[in-house]
Amino acid sequence: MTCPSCEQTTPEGRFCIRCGAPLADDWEGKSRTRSHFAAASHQHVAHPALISTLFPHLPRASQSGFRLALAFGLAVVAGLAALRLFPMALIAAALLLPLLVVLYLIDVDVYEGEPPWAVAFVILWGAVAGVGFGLLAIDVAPSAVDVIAHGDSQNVVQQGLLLPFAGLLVLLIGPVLLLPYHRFNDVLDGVTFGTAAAAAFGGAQAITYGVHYFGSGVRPAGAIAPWIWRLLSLGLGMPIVTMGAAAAACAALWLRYRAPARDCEALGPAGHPVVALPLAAALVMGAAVGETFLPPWGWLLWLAAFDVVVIIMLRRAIHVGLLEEALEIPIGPEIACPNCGAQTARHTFCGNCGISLQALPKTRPRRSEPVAMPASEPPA
Amino acid sequence: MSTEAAAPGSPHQHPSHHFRAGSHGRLRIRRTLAIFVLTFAVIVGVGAALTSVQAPTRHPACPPLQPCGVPAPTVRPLVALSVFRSAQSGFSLEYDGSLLTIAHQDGAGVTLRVQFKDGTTGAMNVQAAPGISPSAAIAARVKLLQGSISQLARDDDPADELLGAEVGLRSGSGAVFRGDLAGPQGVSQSVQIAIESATNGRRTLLATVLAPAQHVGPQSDMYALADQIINSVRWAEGTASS
Repeated sequence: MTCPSCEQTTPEGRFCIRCGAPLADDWEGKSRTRSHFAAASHQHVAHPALISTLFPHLPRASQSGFRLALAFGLAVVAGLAALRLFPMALIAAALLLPLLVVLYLIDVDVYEGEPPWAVAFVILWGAVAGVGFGLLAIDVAPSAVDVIAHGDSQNVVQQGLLLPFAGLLVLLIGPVLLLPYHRFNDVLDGVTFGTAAAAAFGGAQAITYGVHYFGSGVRPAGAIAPWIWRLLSLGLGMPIVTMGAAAAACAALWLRYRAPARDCEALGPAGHPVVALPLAAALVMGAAVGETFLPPWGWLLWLAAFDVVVIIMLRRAIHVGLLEEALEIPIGPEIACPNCGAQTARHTFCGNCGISLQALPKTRPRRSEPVAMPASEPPA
Repeated sequence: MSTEAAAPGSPHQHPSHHFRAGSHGRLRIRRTLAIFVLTFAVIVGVGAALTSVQAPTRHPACPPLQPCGVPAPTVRPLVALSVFRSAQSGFSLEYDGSLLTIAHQDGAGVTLRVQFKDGTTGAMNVQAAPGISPSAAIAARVKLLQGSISQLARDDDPADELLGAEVGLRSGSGAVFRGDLAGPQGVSQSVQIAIESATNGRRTLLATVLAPAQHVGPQSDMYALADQIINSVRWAEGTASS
C-alpha cells in the first residue's frame, strides 16, 4: 500500500515502516505529529517516563529491569540514610545513575563492533569536568564564618547560577567534540553522549564536593528525614535535569548538524543551538538555584517539576529526530520486533507497534548467520 | 550510530553496518538486576571502608560516674592575648591573635575565624542577646541556623556532651548540634555547633562555636580555644562576673 504521509510503498500494517506514520484511515499530516513516542511506541510522546527517555534504546521488555534497578537503588539510599549511614548513602546516591547509564550502554550494545572509545571518552570527560567543578564549588562555598556571622550558607550567584551554567557548557564540550565524526550521525548518538557525560559529571561533582564530609565518621549525627529528601534530590532529581538538558541540547545539535538538510529545522526554533544551549543551561540553573532558598523537601518537589519539563523536552527531540531519520534503503526481510514481538519487514519502523528500529539494540552478528537475518531469540 | 547506508567508497561511508533491532538487550532483566545489585553493593562497601578509615575516633570525655582525669591542655598557655571590647554591649573578651582573626564585628558582638590545615575554617561568635533568657537565646540561635544549615539536629553523642556550660564564669545553658553545609552540588561538610549562654540577670551573652565535625570535640584544639575565650569574657562594667 502507499503511505499517505511519505507516499512511499509500505507493507500493510498499523504503521508505515519507512516514516512511522500511522496507517489508520483518518490519519493525516507528517509522521512526527503522531502521538506514539518513537522510541517507546506504547507511550504517549508527552508522557514524562524516565527510563524510556533517558535510555531510549531499551526495548519495552528491558525497561522494567531498569525501573526495578532504579527503585532498588533509591530504596538502598533511603535505607542507608534511615540508618544514619549518611556518607555511604551520599556515595550511593551520587553513583546510582552513572551506574545505570553504564549498565544501559552494556545492555543495548550501542557501539558493538566498534571501539568503545567514544563512550569512554564522554564518560571520562564528564567525570573530569565533575571533579573540576566540585573543587570549584568547594572553593566558592560559604565558610563557617558566613554561616555564623551572616546566617547564610548559600552562595546564590556562584553556586546556584554560575557553576551549574558553566558546568553544563563544559560537560557538553565532550559530546560536541564527537559531532564531526560521521559514524556518530544519529540523534540518539547525541542523546547517548549527552546522557553519559552528564551522569558522570553529576556523580563526580557530588563525590568531590563531599570529600570533607566523608571524614566526619560513618554515622554522623543529623536529622534523617531532611537527609533522605536531600539524597533523593542529589541522586535523582538534579542528575535527571542535568542529563535531560545535556541530552536535549545534544539532540538539537545532532539534528541540526548531522541530519540531512531537509531535517535540520525539524525541531523549530528550539532546535537552533543559539536557543537550545541557553535553554538547557537555564533549566539546569533554575533547578539548582532552588536549593539555595528551599528546604530539602521543597527542593525535591522543585526538582520534580523541572524533571518533568526536561523529560518532555528531551522526548520531543528524540521523537522528532527518530521520525525524521527515515532510511533510504530497500525493504528488508521479516524480523521479530524486539519491542512487540510481531513480525515486521526490516526498515526504519516496526509496522505493528511503530517503534523506531534505530531505537533498539543492535544485531550482534553471528558467524553462522548473515547480519540482516532475524535474531534467533524468541520475543519476550 | 547510524544504520544509514552509504555508497561504497563515499567519504561519509560508515565503517560498520550492523542493523539494530535484531535482538533484545544483552542482559535481560535478571542479569541486569544481578549486575546492578552486585555493583551497587561493591560501591556501598567501598564507601563504608573509606568513611571508616577516615572516621575520627571519639570517646566521651567523662563517662558517667567516672573521674574525668586531667583537663585538656590549652593550645598555647603563655601568649599575649588580643582584646575585643563591645562598645554597645559592654562585654569584652580575650583571644589569641596568632590563631584567630576577627572576621566580623557589629554592635551585638564579634565573630572570630580560625583556619585549619585542611583548608576548612571554624568560627566562634560571642554576642549579647538582650532581654531574653539563656535557653531562649539558644533556641533563637538554633532557629536562625536552621535556615542556613541542612539536616540540623541535636547531637546526643556522649562524646560531644558539653560539661558545665558557662560564659564569663557564670553558669548557664548549653547544647551541641550537628548539621551539614550543602549546596546544589552536594553536601560539602558536616559541622558541629556548640552553643553556650549565660546571664548576669540584666544581660544575656551567647557564645556559638561552629566548625567541621572532624575539628571539634572535647579534646580538640577548637574547643580549647573556645573555652579560653569564653572564660575570658568580662561582663559590662558594674556587672562584673563573680
